[in-house]
Amino acid sequence: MEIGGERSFRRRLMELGFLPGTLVRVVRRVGVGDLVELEVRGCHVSVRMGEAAQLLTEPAG
Amino acid sequence: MIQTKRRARPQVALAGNPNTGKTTLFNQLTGSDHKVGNYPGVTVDRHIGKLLVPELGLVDLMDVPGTYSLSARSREEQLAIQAVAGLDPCERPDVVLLVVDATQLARNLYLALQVIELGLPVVIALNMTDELEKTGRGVDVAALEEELGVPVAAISALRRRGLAELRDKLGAVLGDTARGTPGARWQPTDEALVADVEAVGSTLPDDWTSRADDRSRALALWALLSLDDADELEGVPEPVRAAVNERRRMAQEAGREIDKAVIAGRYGWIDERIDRFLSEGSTQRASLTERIDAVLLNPAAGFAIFLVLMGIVFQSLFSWADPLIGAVEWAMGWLATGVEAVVPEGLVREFLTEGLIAGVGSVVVFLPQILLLFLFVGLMEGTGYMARVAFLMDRLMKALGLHGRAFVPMLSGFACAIPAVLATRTMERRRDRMLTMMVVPLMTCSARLPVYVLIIGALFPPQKLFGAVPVQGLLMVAMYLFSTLVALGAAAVLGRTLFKGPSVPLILELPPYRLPHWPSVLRMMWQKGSVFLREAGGVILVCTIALWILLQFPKQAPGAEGYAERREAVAAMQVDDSEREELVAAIDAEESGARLRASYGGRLGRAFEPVLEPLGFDWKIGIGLIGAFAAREVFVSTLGVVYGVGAEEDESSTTLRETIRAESRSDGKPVYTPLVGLSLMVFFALACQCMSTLAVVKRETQSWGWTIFLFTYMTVLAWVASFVVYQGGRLLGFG
Repeated sequence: MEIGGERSFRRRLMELGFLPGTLVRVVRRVGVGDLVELEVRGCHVSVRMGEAAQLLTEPAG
Repeated sequence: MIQTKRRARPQVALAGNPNTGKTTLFNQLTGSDHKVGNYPGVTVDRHIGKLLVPELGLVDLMDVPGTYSLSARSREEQLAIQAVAGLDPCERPDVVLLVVDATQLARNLYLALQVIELGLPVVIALNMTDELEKTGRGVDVAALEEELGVPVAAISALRRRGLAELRDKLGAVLGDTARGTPGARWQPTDEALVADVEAVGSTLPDDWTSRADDRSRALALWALLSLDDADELEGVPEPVRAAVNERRRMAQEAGREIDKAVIAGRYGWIDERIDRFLSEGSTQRASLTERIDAVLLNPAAGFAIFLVLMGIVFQSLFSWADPLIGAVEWAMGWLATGVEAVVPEGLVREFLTEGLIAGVGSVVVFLPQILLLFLFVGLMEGTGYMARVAFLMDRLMKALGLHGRAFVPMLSGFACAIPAVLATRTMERRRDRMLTMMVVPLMTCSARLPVYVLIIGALFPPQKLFGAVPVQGLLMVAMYLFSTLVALGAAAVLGRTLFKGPSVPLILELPPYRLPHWPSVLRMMWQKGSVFLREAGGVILVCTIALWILLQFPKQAPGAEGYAERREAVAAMQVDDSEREELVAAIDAEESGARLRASYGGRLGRAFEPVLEPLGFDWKIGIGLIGAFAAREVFVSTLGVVYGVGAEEDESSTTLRETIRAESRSDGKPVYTPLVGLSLMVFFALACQCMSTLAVVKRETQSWGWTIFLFTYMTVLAWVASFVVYQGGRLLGFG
């Protein structure tokens, strides 16, 4: 996966472990509101749907 | 600047990711002996406690705000690097005690690598080891120590496991700092990146680097990852900024990305080694947290549960606090009676009972709601539910320009603005806190209710619209709706103007649900209560006494002798005792009314009349508004005194209501029409008629400027809205 978008957003997500080649699991796609819950390295993080669109992922094999 | 100040005790900085049990560990290690202050220049709590270390005695333990990384963009994030690395204005710690969550090891080790890079002695408290075991995994502590090069103690802060070993290891490193300073674990090897680090490192001032190469490299990396044109960091020398900008521009031209290279480098170091010290569990079942979240974050069920929980919070502040508030008032009354029994009648006694004791009472009366609110906040933070509140409320609050976490303070504002303003600290960014504080006082707090009840009861008929909807109830609902809409509108406007900032994409960690650590919850309640008493209580007390003086002096009312004579006449009358008491009480009330009208406050009310006239208020209402500054509900008793019916009349008193209806202007027209009533309620809904709110806002913003701004904008808003209501109503032929 790759991350686009504003620098501080990219940096913070990368520091949380969202790095190229990392496995990301979508835990909850649509909750209340427009958030999506992701799991990376066992850590659960929510981002807004619109902003999550900047996470470029490909399906794991 | 070199630190020349001699420190009495060694200093240990306690750092770690958020939600790692850092606060619980802090409380377990320091016991009851600790204090709360502010980090210099920002309103972020700084906890300092004393910790006993074997063979060394007491050391100072200083809490560092929880962070995932030392790299920073906001002032709040900058605190972490300042406190850990000891950059101005923070002192350099002797040891950094880093809390690492064993269940989130990789992410926590990222911070650990950054801290170790800085070259300060580090000891790691590997927390949540009991939770890790439950998932069938385990950490090989010896292997972790070997790879990291710093002492690691496996602990469970919640169950007080491993704390003795932690103290031992801390003592060993304090005694021999070489044990905790292995040098950087990961270093850039890429040639271009090494050149970036050297170029930036050469611009760093000596008081940052202490001329140590490893520290210089670490801070150069920090600068490369933190600085850009949009950051809000302070105290960064211009040459450093220039060097970072130059290297980042060069990197971009060469198609390199410094952030990714550094972060991926550190994670690469971790990923290579993690199998050596972390054993994987055999089972891979959905965790308990995920199963709870399936319900609590469900769009239907989760939202319903959320509403019920918030209903409980609101209900407790609004009505469950009442018996406690009653108890405070009773205690103050008891104290006043005691003073009256001892101190002879006169000015001193009046000052003690009506000024001092009443003033202390007006401070202490806020404690029940503050304690209750922080009980709930503590439980929500401790269990992990607060992050879910932000999750559930994000869309609504974002539309208003507010943080999801602003919901709890906003809701609390319906009970009282004082605890609500204190609760804004649950938000990390200053902008979010400030914006919430500026609009919370607009919510209809419970002190406005008596004013509404009096006005609606006196001036609006108990009729039913269309034979079904009671007019009085409808008006009350309308006042609530009105204030809520204005508050939300003010948030939207202020958020897009004064507090306009770069929109920050939301990154919200949803920590696993945990049982709350009760001592930490209780300690937070205690701290919030005592900080309020200490830092806002004084201002409130002084203001109460000042108001008392304003409304009591000068003592001599015109024609005071007349009252004495009339009392004598009553005493000589041939009536039974109860009737005589009533007559004397009526004369007393009349006299205090005359005295109030002649007081400084009364004169002030008259001076304000030209300003209040366009709103439909006369100078007697003006006196009521001045009295209401102590607390809005005081408006009712002040009016009681002004009109000479006595201060004891409450908002449902028929005497007071009739008096109000009967009040007439010099031309014989009634003072109070329904239109004046409406104008008055709108004024109360919007004006910042509460010195206690201003006192806590001053305390929380650390700024008189923002406090004055809050008072001014609310008062202007109130005046304009009342003006529109009254003059508009008259144009339409009402009143």
